[in-house]
Amino acid sequence: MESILRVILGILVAGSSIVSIFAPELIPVTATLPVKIAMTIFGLWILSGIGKDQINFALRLAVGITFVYAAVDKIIHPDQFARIIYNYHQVPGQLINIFALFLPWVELITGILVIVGYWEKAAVVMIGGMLVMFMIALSMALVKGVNIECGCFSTTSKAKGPIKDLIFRDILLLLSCGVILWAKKSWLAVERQHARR
Amino acid sequence: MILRIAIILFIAAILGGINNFINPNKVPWVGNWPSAMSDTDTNWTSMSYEEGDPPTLKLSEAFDRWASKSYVFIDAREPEEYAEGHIEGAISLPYDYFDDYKDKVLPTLPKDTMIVTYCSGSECESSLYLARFLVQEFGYTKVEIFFGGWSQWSKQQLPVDGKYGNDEGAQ
Repeated sequence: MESILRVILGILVAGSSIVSIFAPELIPVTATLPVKIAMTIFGLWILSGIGKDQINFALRLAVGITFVYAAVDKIIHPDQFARIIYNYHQVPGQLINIFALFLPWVELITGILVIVGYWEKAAVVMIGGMLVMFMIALSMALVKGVNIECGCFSTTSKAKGPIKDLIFRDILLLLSCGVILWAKKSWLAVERQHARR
Repeated sequence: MILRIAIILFIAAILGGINNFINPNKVPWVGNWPSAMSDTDTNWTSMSYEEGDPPTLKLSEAFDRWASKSYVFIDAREPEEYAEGHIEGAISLPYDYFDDYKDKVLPTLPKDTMIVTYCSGSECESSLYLARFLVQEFGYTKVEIFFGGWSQWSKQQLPVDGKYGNDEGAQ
């Protein structure tokens, strides 16, 4: 399972990066060329499967840092985040504020646990659940044609990426979660060293 | 695994709760979002409103537009009233001093800017005149009027800037 997901993830990351370099009109990613080249190399490395432990660690870093980074601004600005949630028109009004207070902390805690490798399987399942939730919310916004702010990383940014790009990014993260979840061992994980003693 | 997930959720709930006590941007536990204010959500209009004038908005519609952050709210009231308090992020373009303000404000707004005008409330008409003016004289294509205005907005304790707000949008 881990290998299958790893190969799919590698193909998607490397493939989309290569296409965005040579045919930017097909995948208009707003990244600089060095970033795109780095993403291509990262994708090919994931695909090659050389050093599975290090791939596992790199993916944990990628997923974990993404979620920690996403959480910080929302924790500082629950008022703004609540407004963004309201704007999705998918959460009942009475629950919006509770949700805005609660969700970023789940993101932060699970992100940290995945990075350090403690309870990382439970954390990665929760991250996967959140990603599925975000994808459903984004898809419904896409279907309804609602003009939304993503609210993914920053509560103040007015940038609105095309929703299907955001969904694609969530798919990559979800595949990474799968690779981490089904990995036989986690490299540089606190939990494993703890258990050994 | 399920126990661990439950523990993580529990800790997150506690931290989220603590955050709401110490965070300066804290929110009420139960939000006052528009689904909860439908009882006052009537569509005000004005005696002078004529067919062909820019469309009018109910409070919930105005709030949706405000929340989307894609719209520019224009306060048509006197500069002093604006300074005392206005809808968060709104810009000041007093209808009575239009000529003094237009060169400063209008160049910053492209003709297809999505605009919502408002004034004091249902008894005032400067929001209507300003909206008409922007459409007929200056060629703005996406103008709407929020007749409920400042009185309806502030009554529902929706976000404001100025004397009662955090001054961020005041100029």
